[in-house]
Amino acid sequence: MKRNKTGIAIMLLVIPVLVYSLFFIYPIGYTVYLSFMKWNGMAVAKKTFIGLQNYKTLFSQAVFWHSLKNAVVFMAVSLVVIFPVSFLLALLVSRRTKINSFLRTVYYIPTLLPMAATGMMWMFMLAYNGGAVNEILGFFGIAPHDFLGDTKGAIWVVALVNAWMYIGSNMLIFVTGITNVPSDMIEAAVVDGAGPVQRIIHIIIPNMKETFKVFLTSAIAGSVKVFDIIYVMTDGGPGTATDVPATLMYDQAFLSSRFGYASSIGVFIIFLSLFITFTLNFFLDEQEDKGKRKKLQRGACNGAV
Amino acid sequence: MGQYNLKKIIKAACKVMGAAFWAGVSLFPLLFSMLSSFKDNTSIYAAPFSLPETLSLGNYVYAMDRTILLRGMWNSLVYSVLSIALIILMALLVSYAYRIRVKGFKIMFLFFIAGMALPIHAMLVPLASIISQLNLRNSLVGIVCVYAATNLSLAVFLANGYMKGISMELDEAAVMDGGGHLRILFQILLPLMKPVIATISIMTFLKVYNDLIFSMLLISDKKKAAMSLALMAFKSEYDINYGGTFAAICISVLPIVLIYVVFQKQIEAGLAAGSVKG
Repeated sequence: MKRNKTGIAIMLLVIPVLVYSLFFIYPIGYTVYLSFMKWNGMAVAKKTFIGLQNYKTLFSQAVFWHSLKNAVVFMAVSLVVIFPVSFLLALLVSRRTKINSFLRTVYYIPTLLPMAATGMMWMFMLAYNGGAVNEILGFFGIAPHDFLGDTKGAIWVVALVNAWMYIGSNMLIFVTGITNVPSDMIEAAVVDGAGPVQRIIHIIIPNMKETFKVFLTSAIAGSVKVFDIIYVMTDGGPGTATDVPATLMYDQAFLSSRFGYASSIGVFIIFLSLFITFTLNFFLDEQEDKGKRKKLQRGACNGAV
Repeated sequence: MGQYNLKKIIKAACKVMGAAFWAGVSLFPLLFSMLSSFKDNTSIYAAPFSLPETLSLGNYVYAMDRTILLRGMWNSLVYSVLSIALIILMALLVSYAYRIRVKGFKIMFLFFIAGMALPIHAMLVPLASIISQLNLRNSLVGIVCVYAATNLSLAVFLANGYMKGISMELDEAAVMDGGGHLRILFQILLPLMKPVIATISIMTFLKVYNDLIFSMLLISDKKKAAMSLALMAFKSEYDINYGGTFAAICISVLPIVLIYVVFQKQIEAGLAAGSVKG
């Protein structure tokens, strides 16, 4: 019977293992392999083993460091724009009423739209000549600006469009976090005479650590993987001003036929995003443990007194 | 007392203004696209906020008749439906294998949900050549398998979590009645899992319908292009007809907005569940 069970499990898993491995896990492993090779991507061409040369080249390129700097811009916008705005919106619409449910729907719409549509809408609206944004700024007497053509500022503009998209989904995640705060704690605080601001600072925020952890991890690791929005809106331009690691990788492989070198960028993206996920989780868990220990100690002291 | 009321009123007003402001920011691009989709190039650029002079549907006719937009949307729909079917089948199989408690299966389960942490962009470079070697370029099978593989992890995570909540007594009773494993899975468990299957379907639909990168990489035949590529073609291939492009944007997002309005609950449930791990 037991062997029978194993046999059945294997039969059940044949298709999933095959599809998942062949089209997801194997290519990821193959990226690692290719990153040690020199290869132009043609099936007939030879792959030459060149050790760590691709990585050496990568770390010596200014374009690469610049693309990392652009990923940091996405992180900064996540923390400074997405985080506060989505949290405030979540506080605003967390109570279950009809109007709040309507507002949540509206706020969530940008997240749902196809990136190609979002990117193109904003591209046209940010145009220098006759773009809607410049028209609005003009109304307030501000001179028009070439948002996506400006080498210094373009990356911030794209990161803000990205923020516009993802504020909605993070708002919903925060709403879930807020509704999960035990209501008796909030009631107790109300009885103690805590105002709304005090309730947010002393009850809601400390009880949402888990949600904030999820946000931090996915926002920071997500910034390393940005691709679509850049590809649609600027394609890395002007020049290479808005290139991020993933667009650099795409161009190196499919435009310059440097598949080995492009793979080393791919490996770097995997490594960095996993590293960020694990370190942040580890670090934030540690913080939490410390907090718990402190609380326990305090509890013990109180008990002694 | 009067002062207290005033404070309350100001606070409420701030809240309402904040809520309304962000609703405006959220909807503005769509509303602006809709407005522009009824105008021609000159009036879009000369006066972006003017109302269209006539309510002409010319731009919509152009976007639907003269470009590959509808074709692309249809293709994306086909890719989505097939990917959803394959993903649900695979997620059910994996969750059921986990349910019958084979020793050492925990590691297999971790293998299947590992995809939630792996960035899909990291596999793009070899994927193109693997697909070519398998002769799956421009093939329905190729792109559906890629979509299914890259979106499987969350589905397994959700399906397994839901299946755990279903009592094992049901399985045992079915075995007593002489039912095989497939019968237990598809006739007893499957009907009970409708809510989670709905969530998985919608999450997958949004991913596949909105996808840009895989269709770009795996499909070069215009007749098989996905929605995103058909839309992007407006940027490069046709003389930029802004009104037509805005009309195309409005048409392309219509299915998404409709689905969201109908399946709001499932989408929010899926998002909440997905955010727990990843």
